[in-house]
Amino acid sequence: MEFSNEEKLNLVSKKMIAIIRQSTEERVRSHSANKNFNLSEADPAFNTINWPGKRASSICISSAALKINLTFYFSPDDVKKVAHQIYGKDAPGELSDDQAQDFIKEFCNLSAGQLVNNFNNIGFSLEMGLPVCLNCVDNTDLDLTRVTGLISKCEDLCCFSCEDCNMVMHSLIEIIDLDSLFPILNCEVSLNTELRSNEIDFL
Amino acid sequence: MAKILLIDDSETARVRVKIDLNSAGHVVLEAENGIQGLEVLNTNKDIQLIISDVNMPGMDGLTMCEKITTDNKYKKVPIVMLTTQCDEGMKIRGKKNGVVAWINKPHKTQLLISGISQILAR
Repeated sequence: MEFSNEEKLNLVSKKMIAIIRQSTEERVRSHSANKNFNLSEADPAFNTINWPGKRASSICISSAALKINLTFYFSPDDVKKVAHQIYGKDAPGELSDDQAQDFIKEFCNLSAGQLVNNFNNIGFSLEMGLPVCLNCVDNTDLDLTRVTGLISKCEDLCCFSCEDCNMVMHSLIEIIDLDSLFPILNCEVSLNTELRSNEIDFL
Repeated sequence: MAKILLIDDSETARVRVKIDLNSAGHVVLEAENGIQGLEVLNTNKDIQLIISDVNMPGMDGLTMCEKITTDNKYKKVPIVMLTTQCDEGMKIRGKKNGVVAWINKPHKTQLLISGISQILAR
């Protein structure tokens, strides 16, 4: 069956977004040790630029065919409610804003690693960068809308939430070589992270 | 009980591992990247094991391993990589440079403790 480029782009974009959502949802639960985290659609009116008093952390994953920017927008006070137990503290107030930021930065790192591993499992090699922290007032410096004539772009906005904590994930996907990505449509990505976490690989 | 050098740029990751290692009676020294890791190693000659992340600013974990294995003083110190990445090419590069085990983040407490015990008992 032949597809037009537009149809291919639509299918690949949907698959990419599904893989990203699946990977990060599992990671937020394992990183926070909180199985109540759920993924839902974000408010379409959410404004990634005007997010006053709140912070974000971002990471880039790329190959010659693809570039993904994952950005997590969060409130330090929300994150402290989840992260203080990981830090071995009795109360959220015992964590600093920077420690809450580090918690999300590490979540970025884990999510990107999970994506890279999942893509590797379906024969597609990706490299990951280092996570960065930013105050959202600085966000105008992030060129999240960059596009060239050769790049197709899609994006996704969703929300992770549990009882006390909400954060918004923005995924920006730049597709540089659509044809090389098309085979991922036939691949099932299995998220067997629980099994992987139970293994130690002696070399 | 062993003296263990833990290298990760994330404080969250270090705290999580340190709590587990301390609970098993180990003493933990910390560093934020490969450069700091080498400095701590040079000033603490009795370190018995190194646990390191791969993806870090300044100097990554695998480059640090290469530097360690070129120094005769430290090349017998076993290294465990604790990382989000499980690429086979990275594991091969690590194995050539003193890495004896590879654990995926986020770790399971019992897995980490028992793995460390096995390595220290060798």
